[in-house]
Amino acid sequence: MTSAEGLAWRNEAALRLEFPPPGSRALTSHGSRWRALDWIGITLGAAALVALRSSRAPGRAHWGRMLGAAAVAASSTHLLYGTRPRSRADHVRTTIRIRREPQELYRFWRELKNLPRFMQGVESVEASSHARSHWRGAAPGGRTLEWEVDLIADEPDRRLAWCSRPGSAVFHCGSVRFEPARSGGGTFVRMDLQSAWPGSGLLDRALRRFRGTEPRVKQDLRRFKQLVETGEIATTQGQSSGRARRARAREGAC
Amino acid sequence: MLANCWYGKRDLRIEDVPDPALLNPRDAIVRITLSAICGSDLHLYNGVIPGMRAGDILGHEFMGEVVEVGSEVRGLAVGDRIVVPFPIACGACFSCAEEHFSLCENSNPNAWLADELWGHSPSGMFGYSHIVGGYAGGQAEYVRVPFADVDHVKIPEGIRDEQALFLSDVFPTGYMAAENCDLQGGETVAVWGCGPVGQFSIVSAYLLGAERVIAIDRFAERLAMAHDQAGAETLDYTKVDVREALDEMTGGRGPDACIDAVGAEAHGPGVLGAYDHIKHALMLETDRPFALRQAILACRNGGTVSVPGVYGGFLDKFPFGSVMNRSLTLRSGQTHVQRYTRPLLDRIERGEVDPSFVITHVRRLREAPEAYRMFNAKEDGCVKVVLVP
Repeated sequence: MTSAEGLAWRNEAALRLEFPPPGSRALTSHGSRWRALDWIGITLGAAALVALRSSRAPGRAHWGRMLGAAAVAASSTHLLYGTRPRSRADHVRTTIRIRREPQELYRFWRELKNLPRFMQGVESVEASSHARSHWRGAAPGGRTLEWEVDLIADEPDRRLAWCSRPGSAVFHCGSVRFEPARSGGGTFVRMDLQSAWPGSGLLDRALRRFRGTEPRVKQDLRRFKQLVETGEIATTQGQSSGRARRARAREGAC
Repeated sequence: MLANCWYGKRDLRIEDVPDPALLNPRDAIVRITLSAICGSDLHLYNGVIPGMRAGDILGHEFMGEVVEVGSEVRGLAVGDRIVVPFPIACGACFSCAEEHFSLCENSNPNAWLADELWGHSPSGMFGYSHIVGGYAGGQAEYVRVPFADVDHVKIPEGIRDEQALFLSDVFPTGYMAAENCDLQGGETVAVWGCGPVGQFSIVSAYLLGAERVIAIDRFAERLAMAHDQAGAETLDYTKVDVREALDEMTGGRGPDACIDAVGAEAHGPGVLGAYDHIKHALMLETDRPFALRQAILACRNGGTVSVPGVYGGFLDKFPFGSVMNRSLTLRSGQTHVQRYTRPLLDRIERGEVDPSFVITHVRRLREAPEAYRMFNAKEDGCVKVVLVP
């Protein structure tokens, strides 16, 4: 990375600090990740252990167990739904090689209304000025959201970076670079995206990992590649199967 | 329409399912006139391949008549009679440009799954597990063909369905297996497995210049077919020690090239075979590489082991020391069918090969579950079953 590029990344990092994810207090510097609420959670957990231990004494047994159970419930709830800002934003970096020239890919991406064609969850993008655009999308729960996005960097044929405005319902900041592939032709497309949708807490993300799918951002980049190389996105949605037969039969019966 | 649907290990059902529809602009819908059961379908039947879902339509060897084309399909029209390759290829990515069609970068919607299991994803495939896309297959009356402009070969009048069908998979598979042996002319090639892929490997090895081809199996009808139709010398591994026999036939060196056309459900006699079967049953080993081990050990120093046999996961007790210390070349892959359809169709038209020789049974589509059972048990001299809708 050249020093100019290094400077650009630092500026972007600074912009991220400037646009903290929703639900967080004022961010301290990169340092301390432990905040007041975390310490409350840990204290409750310790209290739970003490209460359970002391509940062996007669008379205090019942209250001790109640207190212990309440403390366990409180601290585990905190852990699952904790409000540490970093843990709420998904941050994905991914690279893909596409058999097209950087200029063509930049032009496709810069036409922001193309983005919903491959970005899942994004229904529409309307540019309201040269650097501002209005996005509409569906949160994981299905609710429709709208937010404003600023283009914070635009280097023709090379790089685009954007970030949702502070206070937006959705935190969505990313950059995409188009680099000529060194050998064999084509372009390396490098995407760096941070996003947080309402309702995507630690538990949601853990469940997603357990269910086992690729981060949406990586999928989106694959879809972008398919779209520009073949003109369409590979799918089996809507194909025939024994399951389709059952779904039809169920509908018919209602 | 009727379709052969997978519902679990050895549980296939013929069901009335919705007709396929165009889902993308480069799709076509084909009315199937003939399809086949592949040896690798038996891995699905026996529950060896992960990633199947109840209701999946099977079948990746099929041909028929185009009945509908998407808005972006060029070079294909309603009424065309085509064979469809089993790997789905877009024709536009780096892999397709290099003619590695079974490695197409754009046709597997579940690429992330294959990435996890195999490192990187190959192309999507018809009728074969959600790891490679979960595309509905062609053991049915109709099928949806993605990238139809790239993924077809038109069959001229005068070539029967039975002669053309195997361009979809087994003939190119045997041919690529032989091509991977890097034959210069005059070699001795040994082929493990005399199912259809083995038969076409034998035929192709001769076409590519081999002087001797030795076929290894235990079923009399398969060995007879290999000898009478494909022209090979044969070894029954239940009657002779294969390694000793091969040494004797090659002056102690071993064959120049060995083809493993058996794959993951190899049958092995003796203690090592039992080891594989037990570990497989206990799910401690995903594949049983009995034939592959033998092919590696038998191969002459500096020779090539070519593996068209399908494997899914991980092998145990793999003789890699033999590979490394003796300069062996290992070549494998899912067939890049689209690369071979035109040249092999030319050979069929010129009368050099009539691929229909492997067919031993013709059944109706509705009889598919019973046909699978028979094929799996190798009953009634079964080598290849074709299905008429």
